[in-house]
Amino acid sequence: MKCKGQALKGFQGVCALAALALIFGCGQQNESLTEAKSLLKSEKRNRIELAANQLKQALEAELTSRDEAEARYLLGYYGINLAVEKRAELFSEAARLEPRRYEDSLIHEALRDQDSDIREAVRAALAERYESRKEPIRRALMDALKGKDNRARADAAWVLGYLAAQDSALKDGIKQALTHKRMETRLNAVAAIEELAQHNPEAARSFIPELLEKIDGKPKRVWWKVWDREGEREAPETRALSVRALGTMGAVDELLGVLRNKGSSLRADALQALIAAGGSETTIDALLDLLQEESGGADGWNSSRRDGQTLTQVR
Amino acid sequence: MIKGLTTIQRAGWIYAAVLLTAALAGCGELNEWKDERLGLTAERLDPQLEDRWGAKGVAAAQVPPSSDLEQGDLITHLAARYPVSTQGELEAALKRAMAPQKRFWHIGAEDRSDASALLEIERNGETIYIELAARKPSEWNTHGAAFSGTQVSSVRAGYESSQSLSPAEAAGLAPGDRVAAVIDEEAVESVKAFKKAAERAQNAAQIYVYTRELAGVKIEAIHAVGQLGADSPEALDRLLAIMEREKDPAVRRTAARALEALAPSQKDKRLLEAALRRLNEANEPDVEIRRSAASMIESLSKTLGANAFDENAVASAAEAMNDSDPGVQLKAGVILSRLGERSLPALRSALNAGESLRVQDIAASALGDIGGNEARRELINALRTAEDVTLQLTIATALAKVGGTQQLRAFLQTSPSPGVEEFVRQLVESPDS
Repeated sequence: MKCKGQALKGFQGVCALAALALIFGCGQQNESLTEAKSLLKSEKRNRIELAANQLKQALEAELTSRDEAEARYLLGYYGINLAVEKRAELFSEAARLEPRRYEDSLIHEALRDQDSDIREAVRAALAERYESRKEPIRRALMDALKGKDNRARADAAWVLGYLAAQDSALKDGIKQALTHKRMETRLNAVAAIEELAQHNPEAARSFIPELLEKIDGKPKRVWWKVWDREGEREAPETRALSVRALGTMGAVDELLGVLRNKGSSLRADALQALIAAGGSETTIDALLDLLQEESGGADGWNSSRRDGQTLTQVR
Repeated sequence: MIKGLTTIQRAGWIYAAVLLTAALAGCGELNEWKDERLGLTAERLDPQLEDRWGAKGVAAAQVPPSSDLEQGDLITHLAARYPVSTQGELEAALKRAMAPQKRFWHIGAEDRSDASALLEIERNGETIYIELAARKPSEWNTHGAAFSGTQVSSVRAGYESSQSLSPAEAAGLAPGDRVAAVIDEEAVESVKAFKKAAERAQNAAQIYVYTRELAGVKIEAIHAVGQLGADSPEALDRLLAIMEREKDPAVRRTAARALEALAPSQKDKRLLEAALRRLNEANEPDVEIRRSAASMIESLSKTLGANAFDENAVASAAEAMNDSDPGVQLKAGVILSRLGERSLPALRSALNAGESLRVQDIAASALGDIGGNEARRELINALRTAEDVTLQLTIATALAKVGGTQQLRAFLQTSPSPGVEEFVRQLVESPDS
């Protein structure tokens, strides 16, 4: 009984020591890192530059993995004088050290920033991390694309399009999102294709059939449109963005097809997309054909009474 | 409610519901319809086209092989031509064309918006077309013309009770006119309307359709030609034709802006000649087109060089200095400065006897840009006589540019106003002078 009591006391002592070590360990964060964080919370005029300096100092010292990840992430975020490539490297390293925490922070915090340098750096960091962490990053981005947050959807599309230029496996996810029940997800899936087209037009061209389906697909029958027999079409903004994506990937023939359909609402979009796709003899011929002067009328019949209209005999 | 009903009553309700659904579906819009005789299939427009462009009509989904109609054309009207050789045929055709439209829900009301007939008239050996329209249906139930055979025997001017002329009088129909044919044009805003119009026209000798290009699309296409057509002579021709002949001012202006975009790539004088014609206010009332013309000429002065400009071109640019628009005046000054010493007479005259201080100001700047002894001499003379402070400052700046520091120092001895004195002193003392 006495023996049992001593063992208990010994165990309690070990626990107390462990707890103390834990408490002291947690509290003893690198001084520069602590100072940087307190600067960032302060109202000082040059707080960002000062904090960045402190973070650089912190990274010169020996840090725990957790502190190092935090310092790198914060320096990537607040290192306004650093090149985008350097910031991307900092973000990437932070995510390598603490993947669970910083991959999430990159996608849901840093990517939302309005500073284009930060966004570029985050995207580059995610691309770098994607090499070794394909599945978690893909899942996080696809979840964001299908989620309810509009900004998150747009950000995810921007990154997915970029990553799909390297990994064609991502294209399947984008293809699925094109038929998602939520219009905003479909719209952002098209935005991802446009982004892909900017980086790898050839890879993006595999989406041409899906984009044409968005543009000219037959309306789906829905009960609330029985009266006008029209059915439901893809939303105008998604269709317009699909046309723009065709232009970005240089799908000139498909754009000329849209242009020739005078019953389509997307011809002006097709013209703008053709400008983006660049000129060719075929494009110019099609444009000149469209601009040909109205005929003088049939049998001397003065068509000028209907300004800008052409009269054509059909029987 | 259904629970309390007998089986027969329930069946009755279900039957009624099915009938109602079928009726609703049947009365709805048609998406597509093919006229077998014409070989033409009309398709409903993309509804978003109507939302975005306000377009009305049907799209040609399938076209007759023998016609010039193209697949995808936007059809707005269908026109049926009925040649007439007897009074009976004429009156029947007129009645058919001018009959008011009636819809089943218009109880006691008539829609005469489409009640018109286009008459193919032979007058003094010529064929002309006159439209008879019941413009004020409340006042006119007839067209007001009487016929003998197919010839107009009399035209009624109006009625005592009516303020307006009869449709025949208003359209200019005259006794002696012989009607060769009646043309009935109908707007086809839906597939259903197209079907109705095509069925009505089955006895017509000829059938035509009006197709149109949307102005918004045309404007975008012109813009695209400007952006993409740098190496295409046909693009230049087409844009010039649109700028010269198009009626819609917005379309003309877009063509002029597209030509501005093409100007830097031009190697011959076709665009220069056209732009010089449009620079003149007497030829071109639209100020935006004159501005674009001035920009084109300015751009061409760089690419073609001053030798491409003959004396008439210099005279046109000089005349544009007196344009009512300050933007055109300013560009004209820039053009003249690019043309160098050949512009000196025009600039001298503008500087000494310009229509306004602005013209004198622009002329002084242009002389400063040209430089040389003669320009300096003109500026010195002008500085002696100029009374306006702003003009004095511009002339002083131009003089400093052409190396007239000595004359500016002499000017300081003439006790100019304090502001001008300070400005000129700084010019003289600046290291560049």
